[in-house]
Amino acid sequence: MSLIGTDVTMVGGIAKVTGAINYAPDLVLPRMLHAKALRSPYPHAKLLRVDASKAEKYPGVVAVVTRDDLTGLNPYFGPVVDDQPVVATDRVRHVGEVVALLAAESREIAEEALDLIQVEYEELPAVFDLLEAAKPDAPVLHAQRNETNAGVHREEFNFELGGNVCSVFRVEDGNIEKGFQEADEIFDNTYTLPPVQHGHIEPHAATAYWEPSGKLVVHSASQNPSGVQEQLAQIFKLPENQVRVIVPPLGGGYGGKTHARLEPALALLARKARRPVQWVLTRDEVFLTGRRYGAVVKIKTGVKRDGTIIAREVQVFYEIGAYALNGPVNAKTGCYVSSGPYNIPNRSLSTYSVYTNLPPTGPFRGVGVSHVCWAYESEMDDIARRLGLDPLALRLRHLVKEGDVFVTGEKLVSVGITDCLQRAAAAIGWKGKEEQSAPPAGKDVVRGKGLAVTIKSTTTPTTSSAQVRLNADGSAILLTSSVDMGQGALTSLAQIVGDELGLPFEKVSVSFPDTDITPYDKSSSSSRTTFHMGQAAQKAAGEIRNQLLEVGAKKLEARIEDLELRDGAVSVRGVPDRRLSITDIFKARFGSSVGSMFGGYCFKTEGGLNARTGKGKAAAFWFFSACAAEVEVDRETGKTRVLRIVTAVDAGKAIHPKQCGLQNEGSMLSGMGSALFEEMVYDNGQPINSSFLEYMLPSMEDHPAEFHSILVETPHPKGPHGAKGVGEAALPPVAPAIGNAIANALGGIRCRDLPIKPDKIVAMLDALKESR
Amino acid sequence: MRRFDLVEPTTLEEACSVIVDNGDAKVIAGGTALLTLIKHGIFVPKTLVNLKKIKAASEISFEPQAGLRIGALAAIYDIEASPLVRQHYPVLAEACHVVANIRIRNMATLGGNVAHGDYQSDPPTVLVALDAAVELLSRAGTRQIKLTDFLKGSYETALEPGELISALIVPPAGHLRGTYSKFTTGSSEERPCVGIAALATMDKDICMELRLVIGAVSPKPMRFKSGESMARGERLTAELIERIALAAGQSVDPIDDLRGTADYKRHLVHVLVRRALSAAAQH
Repeated sequence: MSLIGTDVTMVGGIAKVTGAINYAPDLVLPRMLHAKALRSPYPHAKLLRVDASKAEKYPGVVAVVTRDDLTGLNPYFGPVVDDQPVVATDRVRHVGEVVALLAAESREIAEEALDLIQVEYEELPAVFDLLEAAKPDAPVLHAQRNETNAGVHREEFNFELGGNVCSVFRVEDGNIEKGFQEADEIFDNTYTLPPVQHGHIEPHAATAYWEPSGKLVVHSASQNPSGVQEQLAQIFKLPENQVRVIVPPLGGGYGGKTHARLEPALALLARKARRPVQWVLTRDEVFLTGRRYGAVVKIKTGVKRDGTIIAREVQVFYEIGAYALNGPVNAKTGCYVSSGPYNIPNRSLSTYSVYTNLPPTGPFRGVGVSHVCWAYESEMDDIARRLGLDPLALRLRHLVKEGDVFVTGEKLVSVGITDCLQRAAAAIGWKGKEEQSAPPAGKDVVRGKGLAVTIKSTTTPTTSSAQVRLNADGSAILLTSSVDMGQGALTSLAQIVGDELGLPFEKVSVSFPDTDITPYDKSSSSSRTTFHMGQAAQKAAGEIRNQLLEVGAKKLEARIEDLELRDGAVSVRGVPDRRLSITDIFKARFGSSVGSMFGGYCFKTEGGLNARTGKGKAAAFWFFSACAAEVEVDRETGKTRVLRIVTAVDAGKAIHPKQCGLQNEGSMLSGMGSALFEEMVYDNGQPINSSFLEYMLPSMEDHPAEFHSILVETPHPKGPHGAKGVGEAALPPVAPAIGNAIANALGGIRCRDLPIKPDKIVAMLDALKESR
Repeated sequence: MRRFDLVEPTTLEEACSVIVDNGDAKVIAGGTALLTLIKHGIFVPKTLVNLKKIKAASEISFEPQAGLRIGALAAIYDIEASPLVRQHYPVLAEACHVVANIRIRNMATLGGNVAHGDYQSDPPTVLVALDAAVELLSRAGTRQIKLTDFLKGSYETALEPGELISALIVPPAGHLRGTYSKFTTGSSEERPCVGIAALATMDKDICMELRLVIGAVSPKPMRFKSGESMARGERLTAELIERIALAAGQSVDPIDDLRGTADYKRHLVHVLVRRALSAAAQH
């Protein structure tokens, strides 16, 4: 039986559920010190003085690094823009910015000694509101900016200099003015989303030391070992082979661990301390370190009376915090999908990433897409309601189909979105137009159903490489820099390798990322691992397969086409007696029953967009999903209870259906939290709910009674066995599906600002009463 | 977290001596509240006095005349699961059951909950409705004080230096029956935005006695006495219930916070009191 499409036992799954696994904070090295950061209490200030001399003398303190220790380094870094200082230099730009990092014999001593570091600040005017920050007279965060040497997409951004707008991305189709002129109805609304937390249980954590030879070794909970290696090599001016990044299994990432965060300052501290140093963030520090972008989405749609959408203009402002990080990538990724997975002849789409004096952001499942999906899918329901159409039919009529040309100018391939939407709608018993009818009078608790769809690209072009080694006993190991962060990547990659080599699943193991051993990978992000690393692993294993078949053909005196690889042996198809075990093949090839066979492959996708026109090839593969939800709203208290969430996700081919389903379910709960209550709140740049006491995730009690994900399989011609990515697919449509369900329950009253908390619903209903 | 010494007394009396001798010591039981405060640097104690090993202080007992005695170290889950509590004070079991999640309830103690004085908590609202008292222990002996007097405001209590809570005493509930309703505006595990305890003694459809306590919208649980007297001796008609509920909503003076605006909370009190009284009238 093929391993592909089989729910084999997850690699490392038993160790996880029994607690046996060692995560990054569990690492203990001999003579290891503990780091603590002194962080800025101000959102924007000049650093007049930083003096760590007293702290350095505190018993148990070994080293402190400040801006005085940056001499000889490239002191600024970032994945797209080199704007983050390793530690603060001339100023701080957000509450929580690291001003000094201190290493001591224990975390407690380190914390005590922080009080002794003397810092003088001179406060500067700060800006927190996204639209205020984008204005020309706002306080400027970065007077000068440098593009990074490391970013692969550099040519794809339009960096704006001077103000707080970091980057702009635009793409157009048709003639937007003409489109609006021809429209019978215009819909023009603004939607907002607050920052939210990734909610990974494991905080950011890393351990660093320098070998006597001058080589830097970093163990880090990172989704991006190659990226961290690249950044450290650049900062410390080292060749990449002098930076070794090792990544244990992650206790969750969701995008929050995609970029270098702790590693640069920590490496500097370890160098000064001449001992290993470990840095594990507390939860409130995690809140100061990463989050999802807040956004304002302005969306205007022109529609013909018969329901044909003929024009759509979208402007999105993403609030990226004090440093660029992934902001420009996010703004680009959100831009070309901001009119939705629809065919609309005239459109004008633009997105802006904007600096503010809030703590840094970063990629978050569904990078940039959740924001625009919230807007365009809410609009679709409003359009259907005003024109008296079934929201399902309105969507189906405009959805992109196989071979359609998207706004970027590329042909869409493997487009399962119609299937996704139809199956999700059917799963909750969608009845059509009547789902938008008025709620029953006199009842406090009312029900409603809602639908939403999404389209997302995977970051393109990118590279993944893999090596496979086959041992003479018929066991194989895949060397990959893909990160196990709970998504099950190692399991599906092992399935692909086992299938290619005809090995039982148990005979394939997978390495952890270790840049001394495992080859380059772009990152475990953007739902890219199965498609990209899957192909690299498959082709790497394929090289060994070819060697086995060649030797087999000679020894068995058969043609290669007549041979098959299964159960750890080469045999002539249909003649099971004529077979050679892998050990036999090693003997035939090397004259010995020991040795190794190697295969390696570097897989690169083609594409990229022209920054001026927004046209080109945005995605090596597109992924699609739909969500259907049913809610119950208490009109008196404003409380929403989600009764059902069903998503349908086009996986291309589900290598491990159960893991795909679980990935989607994780997305669905996360989407429900940000739909209904998750929201990071700041007071003058200071987070006021930076703990899981005040910022709560959905609990088991909130879990909808009906909750599952349907896998649609529209094979991708280039995917391994037809597979695409699913990691982020289910998240973006959840909030608008819930929003649409609430609007349908309330007779069309719509909240355009996430999260849809009970007080907002009560206020909307009160306003309606007053207006009558 | 900073360094501290850990002292583990075996009796509450011994614990009292430790805190008298050691002015800046903090006592710790479940730690679900205190550790958060220490982690955020709000307290930086040099000594922690662990009470959790004093097994005798976690007993739950019931005497028909004296009522219920809950040792201060009883975990919230132990109270929720106690057959005595379930039989004689089902509403208290209900209020304990809705606290946070099972992991917190297994750690957190009732004594710690009351000593913390957090106004956004469930058990104190019901305990005030049940007219519970706090038993306090010091070197001088024990004293009792009504919970409603013990709780002085947000995170403020009548606990004197050198005193420990040894138990909560709940008088017999007689024929009082009713509900506790916790309302959260976010995750179900959140602390309450509003909590309403409504207990009534009904004689057929006449309300002989009503206890109505509104939690989480003022610095301590507020017994709504004027509403209680409006109901006494009356038939709990929909019209009367609405009048009491409306007055309850107008009587509270909440603050805007992450759980909702002040206006919204007043509205919620109105709605939830109406619903709680309608339920109490059915008992």
